[in-house]
Amino acid sequence: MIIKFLNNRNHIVSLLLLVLILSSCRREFERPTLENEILTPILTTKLTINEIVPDSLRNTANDGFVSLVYRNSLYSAALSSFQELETREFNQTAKLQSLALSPRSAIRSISLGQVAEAEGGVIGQLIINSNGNTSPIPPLANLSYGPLAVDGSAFFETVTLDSGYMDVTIENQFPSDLSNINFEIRNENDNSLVGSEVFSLVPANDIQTKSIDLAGKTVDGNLLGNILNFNVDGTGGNPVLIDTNDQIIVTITVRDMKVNSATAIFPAQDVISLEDTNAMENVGDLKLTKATAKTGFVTVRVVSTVEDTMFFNYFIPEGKKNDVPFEINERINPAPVGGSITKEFNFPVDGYTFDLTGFPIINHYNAFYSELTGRIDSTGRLVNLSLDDSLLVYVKLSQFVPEYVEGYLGNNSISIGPEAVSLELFKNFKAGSIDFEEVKISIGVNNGNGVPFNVDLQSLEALNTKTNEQVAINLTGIDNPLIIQEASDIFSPWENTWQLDETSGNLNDALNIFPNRLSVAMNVTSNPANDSFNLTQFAVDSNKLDAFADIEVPLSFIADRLKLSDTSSFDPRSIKKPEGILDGVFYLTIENTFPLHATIEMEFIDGNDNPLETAIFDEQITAGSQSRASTSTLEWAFNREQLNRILKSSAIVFNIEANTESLSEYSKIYSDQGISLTLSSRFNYLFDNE
Amino acid sequence: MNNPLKYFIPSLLMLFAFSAFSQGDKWWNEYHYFGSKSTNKSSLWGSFDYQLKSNRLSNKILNEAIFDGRIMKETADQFSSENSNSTTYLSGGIMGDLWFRTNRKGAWNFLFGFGANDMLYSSLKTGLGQIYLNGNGPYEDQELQLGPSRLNYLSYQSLGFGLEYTNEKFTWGVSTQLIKTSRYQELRMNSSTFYTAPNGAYLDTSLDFEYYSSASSQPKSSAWYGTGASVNTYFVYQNKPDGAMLSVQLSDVGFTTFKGVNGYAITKDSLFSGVEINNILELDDALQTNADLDSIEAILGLTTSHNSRSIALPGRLRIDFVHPINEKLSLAISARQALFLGLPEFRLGMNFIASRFIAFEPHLSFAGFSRFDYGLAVSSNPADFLQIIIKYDLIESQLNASNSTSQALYLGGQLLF
Repeated sequence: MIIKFLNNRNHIVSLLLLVLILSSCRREFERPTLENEILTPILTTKLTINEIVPDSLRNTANDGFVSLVYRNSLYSAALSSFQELETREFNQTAKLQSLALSPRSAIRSISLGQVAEAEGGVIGQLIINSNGNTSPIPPLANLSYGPLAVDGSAFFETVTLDSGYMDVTIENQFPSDLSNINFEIRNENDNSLVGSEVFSLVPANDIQTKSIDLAGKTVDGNLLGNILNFNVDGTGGNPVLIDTNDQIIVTITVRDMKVNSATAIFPAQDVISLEDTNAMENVGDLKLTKATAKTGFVTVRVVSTVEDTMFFNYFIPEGKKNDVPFEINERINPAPVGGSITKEFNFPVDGYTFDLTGFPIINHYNAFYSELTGRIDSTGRLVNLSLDDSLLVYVKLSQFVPEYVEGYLGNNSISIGPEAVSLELFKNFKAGSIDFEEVKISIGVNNGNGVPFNVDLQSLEALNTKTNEQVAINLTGIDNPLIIQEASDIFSPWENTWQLDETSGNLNDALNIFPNRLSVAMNVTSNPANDSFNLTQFAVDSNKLDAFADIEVPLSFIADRLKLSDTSSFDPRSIKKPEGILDGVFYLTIENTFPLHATIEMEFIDGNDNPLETAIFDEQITAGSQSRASTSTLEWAFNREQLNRILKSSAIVFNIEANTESLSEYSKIYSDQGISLTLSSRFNYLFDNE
Repeated sequence: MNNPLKYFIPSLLMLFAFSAFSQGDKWWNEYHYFGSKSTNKSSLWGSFDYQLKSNRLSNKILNEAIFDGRIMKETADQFSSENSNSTTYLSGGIMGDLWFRTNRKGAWNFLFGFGANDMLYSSLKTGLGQIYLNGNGPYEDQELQLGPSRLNYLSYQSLGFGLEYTNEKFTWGVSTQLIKTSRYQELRMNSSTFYTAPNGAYLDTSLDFEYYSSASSQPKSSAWYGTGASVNTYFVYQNKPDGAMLSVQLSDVGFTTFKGVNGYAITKDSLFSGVEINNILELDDALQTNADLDSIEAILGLTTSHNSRSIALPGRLRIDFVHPINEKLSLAISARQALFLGLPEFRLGMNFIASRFIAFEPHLSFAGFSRFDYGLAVSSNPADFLQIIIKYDLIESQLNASNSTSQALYLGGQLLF
């Protein structure tokens, strides 16, 4: 029957539809919304004096008794010698000091045969016919020969000499003496005479040399030599072997040329060489013998008219870094014809140590020695140079700030203040009074540099700018001025402290206003003895002259309604799912061994320090002792609105009002005293399933 | 002409299909409420059974939890006065099925059916329930016992096939079901305690529990997270046709296996006195670094796992005795027990057949997951082929929710042809 039933499609559809509907009706069971009362600890902490007062502000005696120690800076400055120094601008116009050309030689010759041919006639023919035979040579007078072309154009086109010589050497290979040889040499270009010489006698098979002075002469690359006259003295009728190839050899050598100007192929040579002792400026009464640069530049500016590549070298032999002297090697391209070229270079001198005694030239101060060299290299090209060509060099040590100096560092006096510096020691003390059994204030100075000082402390005042109270601290008991000696080396500063007289002073009164400022007025004088011959002083820019006030307060005190306040940042996101909290109670359970009663409130503030909600606990924390902890439980009830305000806060201000157990006897704090604190809460929480 | 009821009734029976009902219930229900035993007819019967039973949780709490979605604080406060050391039983959910029985010549017949079971069974230390409902605040300076506690929740659907043998004196049937499990949660808590110090100064816990759960992202109808099988068997004995009837059923004996379930376990004694702050003046940093969830889990020693798991189904044993007093009166005494969980439950009902069309059965039950409950069943046989039973156990929850602890509603019916 059921098959028949299911054979009807309508039945099948109805059944399936119902299955689907009923499937979806079987809903998922969801956890119901519930309101629970939750009682849970939130946080626990221990606070001893170690957490309240950091190590740097605390001294603990062997018995655990704690003293507050606080150092407040009054003044700190480096020496003025670390201001920027500079040198005068060393500038030098250097003409080419010397130009030299290489010596050059040319050789010409005349043979006996050529002389006989030039003579002609019977005698000439006789000499020619006697070649290879012996025969006397008759005297021949008033002979001449020339011109002999001398071509030096491969080395220069033209040269005007400041000095130089042309050596004419005549080698007589004839078998007869020669006499009365009149030799001249002329520029081929304009036939101007370069020089002439007369050789009175050159014996047979002998060499004679004469020099022509070329000073002030202009010599072309192409020259013509002429033998204007020469005599063959003959053999006096004695037959000699006749060789028509015997020669008179004329050698012309140009040497020792100091060029005034020339278009020539110049050999490599230094053309400028200068030494200078460069003085530092802006040094006042400083006498610096050494300085290490923290920053600075050597600026070199070069203007050249030299139509060749100039190489220059700037060298400071006593300016060293890692034992390597400061040296610049640069080049400047050829100047255009008739013009000049300028180039500027900047070289940092950071880390270089300069000997400022002027060594090796002088033994002084505030100066350093340097060398400048200009040079041309042989390029094999013809270039035009003259001694009118110049190289202008501007060298300056600029933006020089030393990080270390030696020497005499000046006698300077500056007045400081009255100037207020921040005092953080009582930043958390807001009101009330605290009477310390003992207060010690010392004035100290730390001198990190090798310079003596005097510090004349004129006034020291404690100020509370919030309550407008001030107390001028009695400065009896300390020297005036304070004599500050120099440090022995850069790692060993000199330090001393001077304690104010606490019995005749008013130190307790000064601290009792909970000052947030110390106002100080003083005069500081360097090198008070003005011993400017003492060049052994030193200073480092990182080392300073520090003046400070040391405050030491043993924690033995009477506190009367002392209000302390401290702020801790707070991120309410650390409370997970606060939306379920309805209302509740906070419990602070405190075990206290401090000898203090205290009330506590927590003020929740927003990012603009506006108070949003204040948790005022109903009970106070009772005082304990080293041997006995007192337990207190404080409660604060809150509702949802109050919690909402707390959740908008970004910081908690803890305000505590504390009193010592006795207002007539001092209570002491020991390092093992503290409080254990547990914060817990009972609150109604809605576990909402929506 | 076709009787429209013949179309409507199967659909209506489908309404009943998604609760738990064993085919073994057919025989004693039919005999007790209608005085008949239709062994010579095919039948299609189904049932829907809703129940929420507890020995300590009031109907007010249960109604607010299930129907309102919110348990009011005043309602939960009533539970806080219970003895924390006692045991609170809770079972609840819906069951149902639909079965078809053939009418063959001979003693053997076939059974075809499907069903659904969406039930929770739990035996909890009252302290655990109190912490859940009230929080730990009311139990300051008290050590609450949380275990031993057990909770088992399964939602599964089944498709079954069976055989039934019938003779003059007895009927024996057995069926086997293929199971598709769509939800599973299990809590096993051994001896565990929770102590809250005065003012919440610290929490001292000793926890030893395991919790398992399947995924729940898919709807129940389509989710198939576990696969299993179960067997139902029943035996009905009646010495003579109008004599007393004894029915014994063993249902949902089987298992289901999951490829992977999420497991959470804690076996640790912990003392929590708050987040430790090194410097309360740097509160923010300390809370950020110490108060995150990982830190709390680390404090509690929570371990997680994801492994396969096989579990036994919450089978049931049921014995029903029907004694017809006369033509109009019938007495039914029942006992049933969830296997390995809870206490046996007893039921006593006296059915009065007022007319052919209507009968009334006041009944009461006690023990099991509950205390003492009463209700009224109404049955009707409006046509030869139709039998309908409604067992209404919602009277207490409607009239006296604060002082009663259980509620149930049963709808059953059968079509004979």
